[in-house]
Amino acid sequence: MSYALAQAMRAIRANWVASVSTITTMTLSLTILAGFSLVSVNLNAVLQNLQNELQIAAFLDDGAPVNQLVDTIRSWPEVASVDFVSKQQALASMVQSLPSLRQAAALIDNPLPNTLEIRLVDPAQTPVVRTKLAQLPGVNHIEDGSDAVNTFLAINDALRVGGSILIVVLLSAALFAIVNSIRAAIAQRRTEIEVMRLVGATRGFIRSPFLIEGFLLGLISAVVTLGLAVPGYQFIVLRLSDQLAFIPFVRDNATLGEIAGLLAALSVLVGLVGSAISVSQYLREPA
Amino acid sequence: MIQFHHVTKTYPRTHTHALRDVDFEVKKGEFAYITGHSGAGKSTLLSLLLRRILPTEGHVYVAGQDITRLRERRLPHLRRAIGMVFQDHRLLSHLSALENLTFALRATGNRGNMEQRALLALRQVGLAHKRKAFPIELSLGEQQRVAIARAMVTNPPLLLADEPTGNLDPDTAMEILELLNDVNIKGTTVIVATHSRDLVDRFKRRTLVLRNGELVRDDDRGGYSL
Repeated sequence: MSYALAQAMRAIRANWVASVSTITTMTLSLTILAGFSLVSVNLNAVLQNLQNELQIAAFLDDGAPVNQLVDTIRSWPEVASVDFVSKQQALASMVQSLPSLRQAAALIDNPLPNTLEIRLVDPAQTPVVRTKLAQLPGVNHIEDGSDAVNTFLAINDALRVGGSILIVVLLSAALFAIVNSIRAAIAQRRTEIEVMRLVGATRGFIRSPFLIEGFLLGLISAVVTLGLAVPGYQFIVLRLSDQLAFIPFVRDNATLGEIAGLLAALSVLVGLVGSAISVSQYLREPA
Repeated sequence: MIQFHHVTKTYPRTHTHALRDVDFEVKKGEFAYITGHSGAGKSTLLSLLLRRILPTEGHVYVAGQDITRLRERRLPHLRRAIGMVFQDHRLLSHLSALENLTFALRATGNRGNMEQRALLALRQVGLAHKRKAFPIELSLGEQQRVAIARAMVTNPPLLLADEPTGNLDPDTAMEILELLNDVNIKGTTVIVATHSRDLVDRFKRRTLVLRNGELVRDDDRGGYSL
């Protein structure tokens, strides 16, 4: 193992131009992936926030059986909570928000309906609950914020599809960079490999320095990427959190650590797979 | 030790018949020349023995084993039983003479006493005093002796030499051949592919002559005549 490690280090030093080029390509790819992952995570957080705030308002006819409706709706498995807001409470709330309406409100009958404010366990169930509400007696009109949520969901889906394509393209670039770098190392050590094969070295023995080289290139790229991405993200969050207060920037170490770990694992995996491809092409025996 | 059983090798891309129905046997402990002009099929024959290529027809046996049917993962074991010497010696330029030998030992999974074993092998070719020298600091003859030491350091029962004297002056070539003879006397089967008429005539041993891929002569004390 120490021999293979020493050989891998020697190859990285000897082919330093190819090694630096590979690390640069991989770092660029991984940094873009890191940026994409962080945008995606934050967009998800915004969506989650929006969905959590989403509630359905069911406006009732005068004389609708409020208690019966509340009990019925509460019994539905999709429903987390139901709050009754009387027309008086609704008017009082409106006047509190818009004091200029105080005099006008005193002159006319209260035009606002009684309302049931409903929160769901899963906001994705909004259309189902909406349909069920419409069938209840005494429910006059229903409103929800699903349009805004649907827009966000569409953006999120587009980002997911675009992101998947981006991931394939970037990982391919990183993979080809590794394959080229290992090929250069193989070309430089052609005589050595030939001697190893002829004296009877196993494939594992011949392959291990190149696999370690791929692993190290992947690891170095991951370290450089995280070295750029972590302070970069902290800086962006610090700068934007005041201006974009409605975005609940992801700051928890568990989520960020998970992204960092995934990127590092991906980088190392690409390194190993790339070098395995190069070496297996070269070591093929007649069969 | 080795047996070629009606071996034909064709290179389909060039439609070349490198070997045609070659059939012979070399017994354990024998010394044999494979001679012939360039392109006669000598190197193809050695490549088949190392299982770097497969025959188009026929079978090749080494130590009773049909190596044409050998699985890939068993190839290292076959090659450990064969020491190989090339015309261009193929020493690793960044390693000293001793390190070239320990490299071969390490590559074949040997771990204990590597330096002592390598030094002993260098001593047997008379180059123990040059153990720290890099290939570029050695003469061509010395480089070839180190290559023979490397081929023998793992004690293989079979030694193949492909034009081992091709780059050497006549005196040095004779020294190398004497060295290969010493190796043979100690019990190793030795096969030397060469087109050097001088050596084959001066140092008469069993001679297999190839012409255009066909085995045209097999003499126990042959000489070169084609």
